[in-house]
Amino acid sequence: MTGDPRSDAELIAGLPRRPELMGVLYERHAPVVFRYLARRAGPLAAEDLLSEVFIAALSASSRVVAHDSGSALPWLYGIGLNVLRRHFRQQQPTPGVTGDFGMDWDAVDDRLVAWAERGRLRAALAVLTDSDRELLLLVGWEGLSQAEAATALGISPGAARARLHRARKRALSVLEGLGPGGPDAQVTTLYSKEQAS
Amino acid sequence: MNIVDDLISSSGRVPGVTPGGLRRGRAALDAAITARAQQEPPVRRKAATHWFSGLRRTAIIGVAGAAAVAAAAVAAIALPSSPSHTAGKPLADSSAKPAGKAPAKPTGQAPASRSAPAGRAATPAVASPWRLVYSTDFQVNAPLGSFSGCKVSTGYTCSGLPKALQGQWWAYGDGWPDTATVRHLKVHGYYSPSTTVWIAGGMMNIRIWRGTGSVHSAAVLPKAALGKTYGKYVVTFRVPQPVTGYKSAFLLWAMKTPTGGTAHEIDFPEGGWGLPFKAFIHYPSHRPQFATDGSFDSTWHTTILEWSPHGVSFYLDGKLIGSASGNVADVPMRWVLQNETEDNGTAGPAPNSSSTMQVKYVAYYSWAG
Repeated sequence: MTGDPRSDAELIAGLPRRPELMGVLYERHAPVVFRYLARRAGPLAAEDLLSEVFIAALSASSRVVAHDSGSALPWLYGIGLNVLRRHFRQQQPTPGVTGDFGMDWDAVDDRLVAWAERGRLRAALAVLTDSDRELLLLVGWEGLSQAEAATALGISPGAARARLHRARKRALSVLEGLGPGGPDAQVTTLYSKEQAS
Repeated sequence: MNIVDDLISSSGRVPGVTPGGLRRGRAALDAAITARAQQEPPVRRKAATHWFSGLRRTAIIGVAGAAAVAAAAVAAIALPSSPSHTAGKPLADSSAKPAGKAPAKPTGQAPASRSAPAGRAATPAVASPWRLVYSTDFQVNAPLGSFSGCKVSTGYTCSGLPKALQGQWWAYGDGWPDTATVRHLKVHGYYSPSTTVWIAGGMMNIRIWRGTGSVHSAAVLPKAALGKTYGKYVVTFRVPQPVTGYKSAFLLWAMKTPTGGTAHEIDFPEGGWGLPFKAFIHYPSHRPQFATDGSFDSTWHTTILEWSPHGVSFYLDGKLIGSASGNVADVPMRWVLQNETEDNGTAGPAPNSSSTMQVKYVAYYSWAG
């Protein structure tokens, strides 16, 4: 944390005329933004992408206002999402997940020790659209409120609430469909469909 | 529903950012802030504004479109960013004049001489950012055995070479492990320039071979390109009778190890003999590759690797095959014409085999943009 007493909202408001204030926001939020990136792209790529988020934010700061909560994070996550999209588009397609540019599955796998849990998470997230998955993860991983996640994604709180409900319902249906020994088979089936499409 | 949230939250642990990563990010941001505080062309400001407007409009389904504009916005502020790469599109700030003169088909003639180097700007009205530093079509002979005594300690010289060539060429010394040996592959090799390399008939010949033991491979380096940051690298080559199990990687490799960060390896061409070659960039987090329709076979090919502060471009026989910009390597590199045991996990070359790489033109241009 920086010792600067100004709130995120004040810093954002001053950015158009004083871009150096982005340095204060960086000191304040870079570790959290890094974790946001690392959860999706892995820590190695996240270090490369970290500065991109803040540099892009610098260019986008003229029209932004902080979320009602006062935090710049929903805004930074929204920019981070775009940086990640570009990052994933530039990657070579991974066999088995062709066409899915929204997640580095290996980065996810690294966090789950138990194979069964790994398979369950992959299966649950794989059935969601990229945007629904991101919404779910902003709440689940980043700890955003529904309203903050809505800001990050540029949608209304009402839409976020509806989409979150839909995402949880779809993910739950997949999890409930997985038998005791079933996760791996389910994942295989999902991948086979993707490869065939 | 809690099952879903529990599963997700239980998987949310990640390592924190390293102090070095944090500092690098801050340094890049500070550079951007400085650039922004100075004169900023209106068009760039407009692009950035448009990007954010796009973000607000696109909601969630349109994030891919917004990301494309975001990429443009990031590029527009003209600062180091994560790598972006496109195929078949020249970099705006490069010379964009793929001018390798060698035709795809064998001609038996060198593609260029000292008076007409390959890679020369095709449009005289446009000032080329490249300055020819060195080129050769191998008119000075060096018999087999003369690539000997190759040491770093003597200033990167091969004492066995004719005097006229000692300032032009160096090689990894006899007995140095090749890549397959470093990787502990079953069939592996050691560089052996004294038994593999000679210059005659207007060509450098690199005959790598295997008896019943290890492979005798060769990595030769034009000294003009040793320790240089940025440049244009031109080479014309073929493998008349390719044998499976040998490979080449003509590459840029940082003078100081470890590589990584902005000292990433750049390979072009790279591939197994008898097979299509590609271009690779070894960024720390990923490795984009660019396919070509050229192979290490009996067809003469000319490859050009352009490396400038603006990015990297690859040309095959005058045709741009790919470009990359952002996070450009910016440290002194060596240019290595590396010919050795295949290292992709397949079986190496059969015992009692050999095959020869022929190189008939090499040029290095410095960046003067």
